[in-house]
Amino acid sequence: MIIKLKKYSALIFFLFVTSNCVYATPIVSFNGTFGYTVASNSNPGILSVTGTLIGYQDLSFTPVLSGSQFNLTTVLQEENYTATTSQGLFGTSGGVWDFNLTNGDGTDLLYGTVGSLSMSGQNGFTFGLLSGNTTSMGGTLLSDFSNPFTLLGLQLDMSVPFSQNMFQNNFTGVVNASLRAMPDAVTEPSGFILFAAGLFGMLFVKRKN
Amino acid sequence: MNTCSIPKRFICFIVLFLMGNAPAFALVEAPLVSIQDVSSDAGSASNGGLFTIDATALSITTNISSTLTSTTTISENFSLSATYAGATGTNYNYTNGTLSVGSLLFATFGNLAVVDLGTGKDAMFSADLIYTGGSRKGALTNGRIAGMLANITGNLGGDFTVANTFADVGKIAVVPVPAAMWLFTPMLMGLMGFGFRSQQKRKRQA
Repeated sequence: MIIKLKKYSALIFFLFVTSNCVYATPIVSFNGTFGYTVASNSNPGILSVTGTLIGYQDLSFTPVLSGSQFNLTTVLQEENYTATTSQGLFGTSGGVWDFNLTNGDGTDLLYGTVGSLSMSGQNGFTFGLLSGNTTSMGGTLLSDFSNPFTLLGLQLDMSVPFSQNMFQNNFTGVVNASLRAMPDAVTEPSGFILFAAGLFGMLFVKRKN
Repeated sequence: MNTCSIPKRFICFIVLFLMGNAPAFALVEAPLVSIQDVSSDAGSASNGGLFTIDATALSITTNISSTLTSTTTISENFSLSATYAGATGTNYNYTNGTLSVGSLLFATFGNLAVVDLGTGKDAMFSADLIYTGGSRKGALTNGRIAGMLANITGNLGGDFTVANTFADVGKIAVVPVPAAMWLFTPMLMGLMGFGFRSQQKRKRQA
């Protein structure tokens, strides 16, 4: 049995290691304020978000929260209204970047573009959902946010409630949101250590006998 | 005019000022606590009629203007639980609720409304809170929670799990209770002492 175990130990090791994977999800959390400026002349409506980092997880780099800043600027592309809900769809501003996350020391943590950003909520309410897809272009955290990733958050205390034609008015509010990357599989070393200890124990017992 | 009554009236004004904060039933006012779920949290779910949120309070924002916020980062466990009470259209109501933000804030609520946003996977929730304790309760008696459940799997009103949870609770006391007490008490004693000395001085002059 030990001979067979040695023969297949490499396969067993590979299967065990790959089956003991946990998933790390890079996230940077921020809160701040947002403002919507209604379209004028030939300029579309603009949604701007300004915030400060308040938390992070599973990053390859430790950011400095104090003095950090998040900025986002997108333009209104479409408005959708139903009897109960209202939605604004925003897209890229066409600039060098749409969002920028700077570290407390002023360096760029992450910057990139917005593919699509939805601001939606139920009519009559002063809070709603901010949800969108973003793509990173550069920054210290580029390796953590290399895939298309999401911007998710809560908009609240809006000066204009969700309603028909709400995007014909300027309004402001508070935002509590995060950038969330796709989860990456991470090998768990503790499982390997346990397996190796068990294997050596079996070999030792066999040799002793 | 009796000079001893001046500090008493002033003291009464201060006490009433501290107690008389209008409750915020529509907006979540600053100072507010921002809450998100992180990897160590269980997140939000409803199972067997019990709705629970396990998340983390990440910051306290004390000042908000159109261009400026004043934010302090924290890391406190946030938990909420409530019992399903029935649905009205797209509104799913949960009652007998409690929530806590570490040791900062404890509250109860009679009705938490979870509203389906119609996207098939998102909902928002809100409730008026009755504060019951915590270092950030201060003299406040009422507050509000508003939040978002994004990427829901399952059916609202039944069993479901939520991938992402965001919420804000406010308003909370600007200064934690022990600090406020240490600041307020010496001021109060100083005012009383000042009034007493003024009275004694006038008696001597008389």
